[in-house]
Amino acid sequence: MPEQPTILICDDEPHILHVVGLKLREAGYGVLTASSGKECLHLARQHQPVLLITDYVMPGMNGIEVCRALREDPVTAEIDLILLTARGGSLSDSDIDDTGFAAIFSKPFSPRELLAFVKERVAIARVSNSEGDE
Amino acid sequence: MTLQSLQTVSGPLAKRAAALGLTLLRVGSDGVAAVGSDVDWFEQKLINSAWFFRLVTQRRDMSSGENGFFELANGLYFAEFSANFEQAADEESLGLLLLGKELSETETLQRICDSLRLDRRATEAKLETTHWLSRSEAKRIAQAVAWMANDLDAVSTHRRELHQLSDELATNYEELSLLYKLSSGMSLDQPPSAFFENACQELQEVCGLGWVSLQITENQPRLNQLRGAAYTAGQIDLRKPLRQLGRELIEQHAGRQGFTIIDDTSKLPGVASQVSRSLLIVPLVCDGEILAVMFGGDRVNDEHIDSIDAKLCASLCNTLAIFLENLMLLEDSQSLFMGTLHALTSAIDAKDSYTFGHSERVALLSQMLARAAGIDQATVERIYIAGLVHDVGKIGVPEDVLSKPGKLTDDEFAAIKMHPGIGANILRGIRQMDDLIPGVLYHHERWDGKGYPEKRAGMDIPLFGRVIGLADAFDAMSSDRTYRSALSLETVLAEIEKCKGTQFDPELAEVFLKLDLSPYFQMIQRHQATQQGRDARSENRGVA
Repeated sequence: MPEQPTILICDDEPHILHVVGLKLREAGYGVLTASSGKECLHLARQHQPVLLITDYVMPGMNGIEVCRALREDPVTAEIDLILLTARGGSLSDSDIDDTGFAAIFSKPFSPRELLAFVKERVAIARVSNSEGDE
Repeated sequence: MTLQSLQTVSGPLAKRAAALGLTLLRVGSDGVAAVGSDVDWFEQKLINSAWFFRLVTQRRDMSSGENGFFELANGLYFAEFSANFEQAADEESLGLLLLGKELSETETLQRICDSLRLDRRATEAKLETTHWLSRSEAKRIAQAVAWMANDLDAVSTHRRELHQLSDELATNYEELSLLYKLSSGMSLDQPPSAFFENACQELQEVCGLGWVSLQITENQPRLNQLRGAAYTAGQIDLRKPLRQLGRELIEQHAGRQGFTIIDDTSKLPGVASQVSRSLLIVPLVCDGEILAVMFGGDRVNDEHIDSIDAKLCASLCNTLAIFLENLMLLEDSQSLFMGTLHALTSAIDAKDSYTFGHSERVALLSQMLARAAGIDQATVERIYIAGLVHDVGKIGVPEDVLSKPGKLTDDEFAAIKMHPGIGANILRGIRQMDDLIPGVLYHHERWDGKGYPEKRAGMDIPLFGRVIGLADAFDAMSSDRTYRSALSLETVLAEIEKCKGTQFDPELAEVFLKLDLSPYFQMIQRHQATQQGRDARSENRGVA
C-alpha cells in the first residue's frame, strides 16, 4: 500500500495539534487537524482516516461524544481511537469501555511514545485490512 | 530577498504567476531563466537571449529604475522582488517580466527582432493576441506581485518558525513527561536500584543514545549500599571498561556543574576512547559534592549529541541528584534511629545483665509471630522495633529488685509492675516512636484481664501488646532467670497451649505453636557465646 495512511488529530489547544502533527508528518503520515468535535466529525466522515487522536475536554462536543458519534456511523465506525486526557482527569470506566479506545494518553504525554503507539496501531490496521481483502 | 526565501517563495509564486499569465524570472550571475515551464514563445526567446541578459545585469546602473521597477528597453519592464539593493551582485533574485505597449510599436519591435534574430512580420502575426500593458498597469501588477512575494516569504518564514517551535515544544513535552514519570517513581518505598535502572532506560530512549550509564561515587558513606553502584541501559559491549570510565569521570567532573558533550574522545585521558567515540557527561551534584555521573554515547543514527538532549539529560540528573540526596537523608535518619534504639537496648541490657539479649530475642520472636499471623510488612517492622524497646521502662526500676534471686516482696513486685508505664513515658516524647507505645505499655496485660498495668482484656489489648506479651513470656520461660533455670521447649510450648485464652490471645497462640523456632535458637546460641566471651574478659580483668 504505497499511499500514506491519514491520521486525524482533534484538540482545541493548537500547540497539541502542532506537536502531534509535526511528529506524524515527519514519520510520513498524512495529517488532518480539527480544533473542535464538530469539525472532527466532518473531517472523519469526509476522509475516513485510519486513526483519530482526540482530546477529551473540549468546548462543545467532548472527545468521548465525538468517538461515540464515530462508532455509530458505519462509515467511521472502524476508525482506531486514541484519547488524550489531562492527568488525573475524571473519566469513568464505562466511558472507556463502551467507546473502545486503543489507548489513553495522559498529558503531558511523550510524543515519542505516542508516535510509537500510532505506528503499531497502523501496522495492525494494515494487516487486518489486507486480510479482509483476500 | 535572501537565497533561502527565494527557494521557498519561487515555487508557489511561479504557480500563481502562471495562473495570472505572468512570467516569473530567476536572475543569477550566469544567466536568466524562467521559473515554471508554461512560458509564452516570444518571452522565452527574449529571456534566452544574451541581449536581454545584458540588459538585466545592467539594470541597476539605469537611471529609470525605481523601487525595483526597471524599464530595460522601451516597453520592456522588469520588476525585481527585493528591497535590498546592497546585496551581493552575484546573488540570485526573482523578477517579473512585463511587456508594455511601446514594445508593439513597429520600430522597437524591429530592433528587438534584429537583436533576437527573428522575422519581424512573423513575430508581429504571432503577437497579435498579446495584451500589451501600459506603463502604469505594468507598475501596478509589479507592485501587486511584489506584495504577494513578500507575503509568501512571510508565510514561509512563519511556517518555518512554527515548525521549529513545534519541534522544541515536542522536546519539552518529552522532558515534561519524563520528569513526571520519574518524579512519580521517586517514592522512597521502591528499591532505589529499580528507580535508577528505570531512569537510565527512559533517558537512553528519549535522547536516542545507544547506551546510558549511571555510576555512583564510592566516596560518600551516607549512600550506604548504593556506594559504587552502576546502572546501564541500552546496547553496549560489556567487555568495555564502562565502570572504570564511570570512576574516571567522577574524578574528572568533581566540582563541575552542568553537562559536557565530547564529540571526539580520543583526546581524553583514560579509557574514554575505548568505550565510545562521543560522550555526553552529566555530573549529579548535591551541595557542591559529586554524588554520581550520568554518561552515555553512541547516538542512534550516528548523529551528534545535541544540546537539547544534553539539557534534557541535565534536568533529569537534577531530579536524580535530589533523589540521591533524599536517600542520604533517609539513611541519616534511619541510622540515627537505629543507633538510638541500640543505645536504648544496651541501656536495658546493662541494667539487667542476667537477661542479656532478651530484648533482641523478643523482637525477633514478635517479628516471626506477626509475620506468620499475616500482618502487613510495615507493621511487622514496627512490631520488631517495639519488641526491641519493650522493656525500656526497666531503666526506672531499681537494679537490686531486677536482679533479686528468690521471691519478691509486694513493694518490689509493685516496682517491677511500674516498668511498662515508665517505658511508655520514656518513648512518649519521641514522635517517631509514638506508635511503639502500645507494645511497651501493654506487653504484661493478659487475655483474661488479670495482667497489668491497666487490666485490659481480649481485643482491648492492642495488637502490639498481645504479640510482644506472648513473645516475652516465651523467652522468659525459655531462658535462665534469677529465680529458676530455663524450662525445656516442650514445657514452654505446653504452657502456652495451656494458657491460650487465659494469658494469651488464643489465635496468636495457635500461630505461635506452629512457628519454626530455629532462628530463635540460633540467636540464643549467639547470645550465649557473646556472654561467655564477656564473662571471660571480665574474669581476666579481675585476675590482672
